[in-house]
Amino acid sequence: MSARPIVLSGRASRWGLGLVALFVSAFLIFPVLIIVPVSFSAGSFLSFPPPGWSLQWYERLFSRADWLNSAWLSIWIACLATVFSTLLGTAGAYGLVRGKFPGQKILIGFILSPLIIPGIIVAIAVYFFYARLQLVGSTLAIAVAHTALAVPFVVVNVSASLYGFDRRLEQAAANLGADAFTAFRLITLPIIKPGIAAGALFAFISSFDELIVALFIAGPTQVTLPLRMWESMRNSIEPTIAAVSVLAVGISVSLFLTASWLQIRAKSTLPVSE
Amino acid sequence: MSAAHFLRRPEWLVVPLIAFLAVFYLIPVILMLARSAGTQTDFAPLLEAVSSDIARTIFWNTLKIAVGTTLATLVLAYPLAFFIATAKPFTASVFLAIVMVPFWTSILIRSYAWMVLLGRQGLINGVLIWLGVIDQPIRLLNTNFAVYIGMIHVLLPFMVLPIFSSLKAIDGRLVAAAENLGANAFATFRHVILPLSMPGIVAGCVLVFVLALGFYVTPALLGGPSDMTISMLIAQEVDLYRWDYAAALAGILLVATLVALFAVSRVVSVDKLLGGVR
Amino acid sequence: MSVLDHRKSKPARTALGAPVRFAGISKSYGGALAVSGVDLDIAAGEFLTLLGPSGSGKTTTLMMLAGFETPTTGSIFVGERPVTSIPPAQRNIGMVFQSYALFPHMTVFENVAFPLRMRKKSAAEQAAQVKRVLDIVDLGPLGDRYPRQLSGGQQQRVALARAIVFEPPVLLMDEPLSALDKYLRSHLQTEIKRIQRDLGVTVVYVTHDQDEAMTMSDRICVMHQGKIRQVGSPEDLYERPLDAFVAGFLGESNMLDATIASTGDGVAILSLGGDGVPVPARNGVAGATVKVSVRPEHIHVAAAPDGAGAWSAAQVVDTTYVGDHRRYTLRLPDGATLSVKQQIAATPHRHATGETVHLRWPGEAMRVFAHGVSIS
Repeated sequence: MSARPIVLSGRASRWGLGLVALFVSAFLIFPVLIIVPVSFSAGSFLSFPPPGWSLQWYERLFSRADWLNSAWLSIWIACLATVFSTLLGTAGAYGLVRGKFPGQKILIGFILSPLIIPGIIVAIAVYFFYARLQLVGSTLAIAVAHTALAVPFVVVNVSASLYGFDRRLEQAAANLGADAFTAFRLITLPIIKPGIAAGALFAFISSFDELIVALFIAGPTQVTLPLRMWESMRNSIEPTIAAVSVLAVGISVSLFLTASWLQIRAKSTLPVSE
Repeated sequence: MSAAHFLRRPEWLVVPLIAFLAVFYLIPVILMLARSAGTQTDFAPLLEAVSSDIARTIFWNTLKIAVGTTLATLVLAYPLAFFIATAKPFTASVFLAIVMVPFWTSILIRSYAWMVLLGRQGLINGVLIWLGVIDQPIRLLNTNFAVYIGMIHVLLPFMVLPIFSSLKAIDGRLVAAAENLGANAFATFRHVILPLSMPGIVAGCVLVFVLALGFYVTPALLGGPSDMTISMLIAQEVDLYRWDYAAALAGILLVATLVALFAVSRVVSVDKLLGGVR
Repeated sequence: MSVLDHRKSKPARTALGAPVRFAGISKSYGGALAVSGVDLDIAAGEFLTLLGPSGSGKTTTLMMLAGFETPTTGSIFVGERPVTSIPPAQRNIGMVFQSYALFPHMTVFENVAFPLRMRKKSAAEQAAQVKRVLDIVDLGPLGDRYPRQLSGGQQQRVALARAIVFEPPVLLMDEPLSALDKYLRSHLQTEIKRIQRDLGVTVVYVTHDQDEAMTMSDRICVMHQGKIRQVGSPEDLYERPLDAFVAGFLGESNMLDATIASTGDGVAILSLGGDGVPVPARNGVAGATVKVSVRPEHIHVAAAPDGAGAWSAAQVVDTTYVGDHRRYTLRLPDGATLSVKQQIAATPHRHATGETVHLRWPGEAMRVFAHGVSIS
């Protein structure tokens, strides 16, 4: 970090910049907020502002088994993907950060590539592959595909906390009588735990929100929440989706805030300042 | 082998992850690419994809949208990133949260929000009519404009964050020094701040461009029939059971993505680039 | 002070220190020698400092003793036991790390109890031992704090407590005070010294600060470029440096060029600044070029030549007042510059810049080095 932040001289430029920043931020956040009043609309089709207020869309949501089943299915898949990607990603990040081997850079690029390769490529590649193995329609298979997409989040977060970890703490533990595994269990693991937790939360959200892969490899009985929203949005844009969205955003945002908080905490438990 | 063994030779801990990604990610992609060679290995699907006018038009359209989105997000993101980087800590954290929250709202939900806003009965038409700019609702949804708006909205954080971190890393004393040496605000920006934030700009542009190339959900929901992207074409060909042809198109898209990434990996390291994704 | 009361009421349990021996130790990293040919015997209960500039190999030597580096050749013994192939966790050597390496997620108590926990001591014994050492380092009431809630000096004491709680026969300290301010540093130097004496533990201390080394050590081992240059008491090293590096590294020395005019009977006559000066020298060849070192405080400045000893005229280039002494920069007739310290109490007169003065110093204050090695 810089010793001194950039200071803008001139009040006019400061205000002008602030105004532009405000406009861009409003553009970012306003559409997300607009869903909230729509979800309480008394109207029967999509219009804004709503003609009146009611809880009808929430009632409909909770009374209809298909939406609830989709939500549970998505949560279940996301949980599986989170467990898989956290285990694989944490071990992998440890190996990448601590290990020495040729081609490390290329390997990191490969592991992180699912974040940036177009979703459709992964989706149809996995679809063709699953079709060959007759795995299309398996819940576990969806979770496995989501794991490949979620694992980079775990690797990025865990590596960051491992890079910030002071190796002398492990030396100190060894010096005080701890064997390698004990030092890992009692010193390293507790200190990088917030990084692991943050990675796990990001992994959960990425699977919970994933549409494109599920679009291809889910069977007719496995309608995940994003899939049901997608189908519903292509047919009619009734406010039920607004109600779902408000709930989903609520969950995502609170998980996201937890993850950020964990990241901040991960930084503050790093070694004491000199 | 004991746990201690793995801690002494941590290289081995990467093996399960690599094996997993090889089986469920790398091999499927390679098998898919192999399909584009066709059943007779005569590369018929690939040749068809290259020579198809429709595919070419859609590729150009996708490229145009990706470039347009990249430029628009850059113009919008730079002032915001600059504002956050120079703001007081509390203001900065509030604005950063605003950038991050939609980042973690699913693309579906954000597209839905734009459907609400841009629809015939939507807020924007309502406001325009109330202002007397128009007499009756105009068509905003299912247009090229809606695709741009939706994609800019989704991709803006990917531009803001890398630029923000490169601006934040600039030592303010350099700016003070430039001013002390007689540079006015514009000259300081032009000769000090802009060059030093260039890595962030490059990273943001590549990230947005590459992600925009593969967009599917937003154009499918907000665009009209003429706004088809290459991802949508691929999906459509899969639905028509023309799998080899779809694989050929996907191969071309993958190569385009990798070329863009490789071109900048000489300027910005790929893991730095992806660090901005968080 | 409470610490002292505590000590009086309960005599310190002494864990007798063990001797340490380095035999032919070398360490190379891909061909580059970081440490070469280190032979060093450290007596039980001795306070030995490895002193040297950064990159001199002192920390590598310490890390080999702790077990974090493996020597390329040679063996290390603690007591009678060869430890070279023993993993760090089983060496039973205490260590205070640079910037302490306190576990940030554990309280002071948990940090200090950690080595006892690793040694499977009962909870009651852990509590008793931790209390005992926290009292020794004067941190009794702070057991529930986390490291980040402590000041630098307190963190340092926790690190020390953690390193001695399991009563190791040898205690290693790697620049333990480098992060602290000057006042705290000198206070803790005294504390560490006192604790070391009470416990009777052998201490191997690494520092690049020569004042710290002089203050604390029984013996100092000066290292440079991976080799031991000289081992001896602080006084030995300061008064009788064996080579030009030691003379320059410990305290300040003026290095003057001279030629041996003639030799005989343990004395060499040097031509120095145009004069013939007799100095003690074991061997030397007439006509050889040598370096002569003189400490700034050994040179006497006067307005006119007076009394016996080596005299030389010089011109005052600069003077600085430093409280208890005055510092002169002088130019000799041959152009060499000389730094001189004059105690204000003894010589209150101030010589002005540009003034010509006369210098005298006793012949035994000079050390003569031929090719960097002392021949005095």
